[in-house]
Amino acid sequence: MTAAMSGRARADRLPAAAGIGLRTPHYEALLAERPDVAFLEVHTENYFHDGGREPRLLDRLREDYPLSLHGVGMALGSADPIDPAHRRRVAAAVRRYEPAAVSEHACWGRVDGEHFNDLLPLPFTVEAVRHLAARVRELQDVLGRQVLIENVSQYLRFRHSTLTEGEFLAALVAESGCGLLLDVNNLYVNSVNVGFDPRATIGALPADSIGEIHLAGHLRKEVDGHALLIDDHGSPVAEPVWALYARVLEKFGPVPTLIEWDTNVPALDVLLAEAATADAMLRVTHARAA
Amino acid sequence: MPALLDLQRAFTAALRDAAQDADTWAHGDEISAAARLRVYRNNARGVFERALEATFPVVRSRVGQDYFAQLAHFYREAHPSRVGDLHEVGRHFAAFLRLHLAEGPYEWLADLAALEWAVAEAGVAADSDVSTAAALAGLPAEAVAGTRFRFVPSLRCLSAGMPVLAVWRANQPGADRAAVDLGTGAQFVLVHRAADDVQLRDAQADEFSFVVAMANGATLQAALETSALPIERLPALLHALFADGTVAQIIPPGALRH
Repeated sequence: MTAAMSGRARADRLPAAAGIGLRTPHYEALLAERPDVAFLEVHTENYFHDGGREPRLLDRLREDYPLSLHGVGMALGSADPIDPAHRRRVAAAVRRYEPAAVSEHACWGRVDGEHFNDLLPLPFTVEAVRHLAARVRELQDVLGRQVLIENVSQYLRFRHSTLTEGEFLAALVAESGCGLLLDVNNLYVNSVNVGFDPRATIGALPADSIGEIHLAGHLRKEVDGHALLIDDHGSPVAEPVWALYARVLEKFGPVPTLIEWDTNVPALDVLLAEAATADAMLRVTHARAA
Repeated sequence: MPALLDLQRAFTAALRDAAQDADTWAHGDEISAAARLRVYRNNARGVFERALEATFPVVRSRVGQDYFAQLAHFYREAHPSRVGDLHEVGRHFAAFLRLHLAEGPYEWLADLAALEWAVAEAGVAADSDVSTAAALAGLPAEAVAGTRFRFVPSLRCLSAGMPVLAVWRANQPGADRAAVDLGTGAQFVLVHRAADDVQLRDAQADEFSFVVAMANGATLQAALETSALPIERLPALLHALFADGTVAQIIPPGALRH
């Protein structure tokens, strides 16, 4: 039974089943067909304005589906101060849409007043984790709720990182009280791009810390004659990512899982088929847990 | 070890300038640090360009991908993004084009960009109730001249030195894309949103001036005088404004605006 059918659309937590990212081309089909999908996720910044078509459509959809608000622009790890206007608008969106989950990224993006509008990687240092944790605590205080923080894709490794990514994320959870949004595609992409064992990262994460999982496709590029994986969210989830996802479920049990698809957005059916695959794996995990 | 701020400054300096050395703080191996950094440089440029394209599809369509990418590059150098909401990156694009393309063959693109920005703003402006012509007709005759209007929050008034609305319409999906004679003179456009649809109205110069005056708080009588709109054309203009759902509130003399 879907969340929509069970009337749990305003749940405090996302259901441990598969959801999809809500993208403009799918609005009409979702409204007309109300497909069997456990929750919807939107980019918070797309709902900073109160007026117009999209807020009204989201109001209709959230009557039937639990909602996750996923921010992409706060750049919490920036050494620059957090933009208070941006944070106010996130808080306003959270008040208006009453999401079951709110998430941001373990990244930076702004320095000396210039915003790069990208999820730039932080060095895995004690300084960076303390800085990020303080910012996450501030945000949680403003919102009055726990926030999930997502691991971002990496194309390079900082020379002076002293922690592994797993240690960094575990310390972030311990110091801020946040949950994690574990992007399994990012984890896989990073393991190839900078060379580490993603299973070790999974092993380092606290058992009850994962509030949501992201799955997405990536692009393989040849750079200097070697493979570099680009986190482009423009294709089906790759086989090694499904395999890593199975490993994550094995450790953490069933976790709400989102299929993200942001470029070359396919027909809704394609997205739903990916979600159905994740759902099947989640059901197996549920059965094992029972 | 560089402090976080120093590292972020070094990172962004290398994003701006490919000649900056990233090897002191980033690992290179089979793939050099410079090549790895290039991914971020391309991402930042691409994200900015796509955000601009999404807001200015007609400008993009008129100049083609390559020239649009050049414009986006120079615009980003002049007006880098300051906020985390990508919908805002186009805020200064029309003003930038007005300077960057001044007195060149593409000078008119500034007006087109201003119209597209007005359309984008109207699309997300706050919702509003609308007033009807009947409410105006219900006022005592002596009160009409001193009446003010509050327009819907989505209203944007745009005057252009060229037939900007004709160009915009000719480049909408499904339009015949017929060539527009850019030499036919100025055009005055009223943009607003009714329900979910952004609507654009081609106004006469005096009608436009009347609406701008009313939007700035003038009374109906004062707006008529400012605009030199002949009074015999006022009923038709008011009818159109009410029918379009442009007027949010009628404020009789002495009433407080809210």
